[in-house]
Amino acid sequence: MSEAPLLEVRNVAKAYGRGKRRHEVLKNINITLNEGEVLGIIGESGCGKSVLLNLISCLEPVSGGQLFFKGQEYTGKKPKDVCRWFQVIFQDSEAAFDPKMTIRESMHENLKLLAEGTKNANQRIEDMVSMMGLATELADRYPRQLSGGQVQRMAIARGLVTEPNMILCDEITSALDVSAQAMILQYLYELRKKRGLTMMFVSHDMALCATFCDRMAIMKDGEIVEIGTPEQIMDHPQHEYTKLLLDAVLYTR
Amino acid sequence: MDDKYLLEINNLTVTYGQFKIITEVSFKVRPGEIVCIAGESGCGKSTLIKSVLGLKQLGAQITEGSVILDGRDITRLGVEERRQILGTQIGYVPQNTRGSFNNIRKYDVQYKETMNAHNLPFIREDAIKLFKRLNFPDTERLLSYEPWEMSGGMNQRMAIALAVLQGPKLMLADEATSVLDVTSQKEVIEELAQLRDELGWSILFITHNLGVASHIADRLGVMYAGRMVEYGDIRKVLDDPIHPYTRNLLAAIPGKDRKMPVGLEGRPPLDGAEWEGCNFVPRCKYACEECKHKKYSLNEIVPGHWVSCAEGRGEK
Repeated sequence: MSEAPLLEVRNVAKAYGRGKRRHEVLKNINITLNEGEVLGIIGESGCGKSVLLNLISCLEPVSGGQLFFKGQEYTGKKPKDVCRWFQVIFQDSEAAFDPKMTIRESMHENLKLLAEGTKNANQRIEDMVSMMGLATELADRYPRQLSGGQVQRMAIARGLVTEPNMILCDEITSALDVSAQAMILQYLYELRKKRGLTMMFVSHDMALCATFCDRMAIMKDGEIVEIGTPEQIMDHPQHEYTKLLLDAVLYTR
Repeated sequence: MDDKYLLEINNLTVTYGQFKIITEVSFKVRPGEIVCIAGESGCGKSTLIKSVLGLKQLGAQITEGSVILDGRDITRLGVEERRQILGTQIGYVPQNTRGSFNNIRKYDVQYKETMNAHNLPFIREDAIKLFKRLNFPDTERLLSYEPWEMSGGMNQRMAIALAVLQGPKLMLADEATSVLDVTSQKEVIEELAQLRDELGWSILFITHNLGVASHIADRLGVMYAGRMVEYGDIRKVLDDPIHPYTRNLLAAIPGKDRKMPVGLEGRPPLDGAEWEGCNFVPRCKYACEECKHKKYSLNEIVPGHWVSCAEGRGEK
């Protein structure tokens, strides 16, 4: 069904604890994401951005609401059922790679688990690595032998090598220097043009999201308070909290 | 009083064992001035602050140059002498204040301990007065909280307040806002600027965030691989950057125009590796034969703007 959105999140809620200690971290979240779209999710620490990604990728069960992939409900599935659709990329990628495996070996693991034939595995890995602008020799190094920016690009390559429908990025550039951050964005942008990559990009940096997201969602205390195109959000913010966040963005000129 | 400086760093070279981390860095801070030092991770920014605070415990060594505070050479002070100037003359706010407070002891106990360690009395009312001046919430009860009950931003502000109480003239802030959310980041830097205005502090502020620098600094230094590559009045450096590295840094920051930021391939030389010629050559698109063989030093191009690059190299 090409009409159905790639991902639909309907009335999703998440709470931890029970009884008096029950704490709602996500309330009534509604998101639809079409193929090829990039959605930025912006909010401060503790607003529930990362939990939302965990719910979508089934790393944690939802407490309420439904999840749909291409129009079919997948609420309550296991991570292994959905990891062909979604690949998650985390902030600290050096910790997400096995330190005792070369990058190439780690990627082979991923391919073995997820992709059907592994015939051209090496070729696919090398293609993906060079698509992220890295020399293919670097794939034979260990994670600690690469710089932070390079490891992060390798993590994206590892996520994409299995050709998922969508990647979920959780603060992937927050630990990096501005130059390394800009490199990553450039390559993601290239990938979007070449492959129509669908992406959910969680970040606390509004200015950054505004440069390449199609839509931005502003989260506060577990709720989406505003959602719109970068123009709407950056130039005509409606919600008080969006205005507050915008006011705190520091530009160099 | 134009020639009066609070902090002078002259031709400073710092090594960890055989590795040179800072090479021939010189700059001066006037009373009441905020100087920001920016650069990538590993460029020596933090070591620079630590060479003012004292390097002994780090296994690093100042091999050349000097650090002069208020006319007094503090480069090679002993532990006891240094202890007398730390806190009372030099205040320090680290990046991770979670790690510098004891998480499960009340603030007032920790405040008292710190003040007494510097031979100062702890006066509760003074602290509360200061909190009020800085518009902290819940000022009366703040001191009876424990750090774990506070947000990261509030904890950072408590650390700044503690440094203020000791009444230093020079404040060193090492990435003091980098772990904070944008809204608390703004609060903290506005507080620092307010304190500067009211108390005439000088602040040496280390950050990798040029947006933060643009907001509070009077002067900006850009470091690359242990050297100062550009230094000058904040507007001159940000509006009219000359060194290709500074230009790259600025291009990498998402701006108001929502244009795609431009990155910089490669990484700085590791462990202070040195070669003949400019350190930036491998990543510089303007590098020429001359650059491969010549070391540039800071050169005043226009008054108040120093650059270490072949003059006008980055123009096109």
